[in-house]
Amino acid sequence: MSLEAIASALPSIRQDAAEVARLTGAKESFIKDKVGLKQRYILAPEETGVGLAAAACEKLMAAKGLKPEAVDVLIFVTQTPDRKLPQNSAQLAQCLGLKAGLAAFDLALGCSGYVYGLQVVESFLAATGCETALLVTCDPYSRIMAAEDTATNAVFGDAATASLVLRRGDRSRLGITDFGTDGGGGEAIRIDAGAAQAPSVALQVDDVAAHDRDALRLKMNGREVFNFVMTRIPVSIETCLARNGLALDEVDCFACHQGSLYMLQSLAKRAGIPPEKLLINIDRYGNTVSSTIPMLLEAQMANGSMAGKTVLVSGFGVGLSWATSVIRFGS
Amino acid sequence: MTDTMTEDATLLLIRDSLNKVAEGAGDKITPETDLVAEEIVDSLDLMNFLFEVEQTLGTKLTAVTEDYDDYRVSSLMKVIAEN
Repeated sequence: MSLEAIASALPSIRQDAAEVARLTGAKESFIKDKVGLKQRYILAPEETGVGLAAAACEKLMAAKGLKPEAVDVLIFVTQTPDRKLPQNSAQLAQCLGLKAGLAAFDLALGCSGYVYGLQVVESFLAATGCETALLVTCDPYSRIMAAEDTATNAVFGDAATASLVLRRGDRSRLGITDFGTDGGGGEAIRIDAGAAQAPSVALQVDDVAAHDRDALRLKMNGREVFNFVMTRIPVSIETCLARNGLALDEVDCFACHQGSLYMLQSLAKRAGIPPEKLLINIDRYGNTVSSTIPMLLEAQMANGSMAGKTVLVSGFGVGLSWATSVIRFGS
Repeated sequence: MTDTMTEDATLLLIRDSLNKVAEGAGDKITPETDLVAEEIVDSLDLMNFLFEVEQTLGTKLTAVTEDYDDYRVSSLMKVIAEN
């Protein structure tokens, strides 16, 4: 399997740190210097995740001369679909005019979703003999956050990415992935209502009622998430490197999920990652959930600086869930 | 470990953990200091400070829940001692 190319799309509303500070009541300097967010983009009311994903896919397909009928597999990483049903992947396939024989499904993961997604794509292509896949990410948290909640609204931004993956390409190779799940920590990032456990419409459920805004918004326990990252991810990085026969200094750059600048710097210190090798884009986009890693890779691949390089990718977050792998780019 | 820690030892633990997170922060405190109200650390440094304390103790500070809001040094010393 080869990751051949990546394209991204941004929604139309741009907000700088001053605007985010105004919305949340947090200090602008805190948002810029500690969270690391200097600007971010969020969906306008008329925009949708599927629409944004379609824009990313169209950009990618135009750049690579990829015809809709050539796409065999479409995987859409999201936990914030436009609607509960039908799934985003089916809607996106319709938007793009992809063929009826397409395999398309959503992958319900957040910040670990891209790295999991790469492995799922590789496995699916190998198992089915399909040739060409699009791996798409779009998790627009602007649609599940409360404006005044600093813990979330000072951190997240919206974006979509589309990655072209070929079964027989030669631009790159995915290494062995280290996976992890800690459901016991799941309360750290959650939405309490609006799904089957606390429904608004249901059979055999008493007291079904419209849920209040607080129950429907994203909640994040920053301390628990920080502890999780600092405890689990250095171990995952070490395990991944060992499984791939690599030493830390053989990795050319590190594309880790952009939880916040503070978290990244703390993680890098704890894991022994040289700061100059740590890729950063939270300053320009905020934490775009499963889009953070592909957007880091897109920038590096676009300027040609990945040729012959080995990059470690590590996604971690909601679940709690994590996945770390390496991608070796050919020369 | 915590049930045998002296007051001096818990204060030193707090000082050292703060200094790991924000250079010089631990040197500014006394038992009367309120870490949040006096802006000794911000919310991100606070998470990191608690992590460092827990790493040193080898145990979670169970009293410091999501709703906990008393970051006076004297209160934290009590939390550590009773943990």
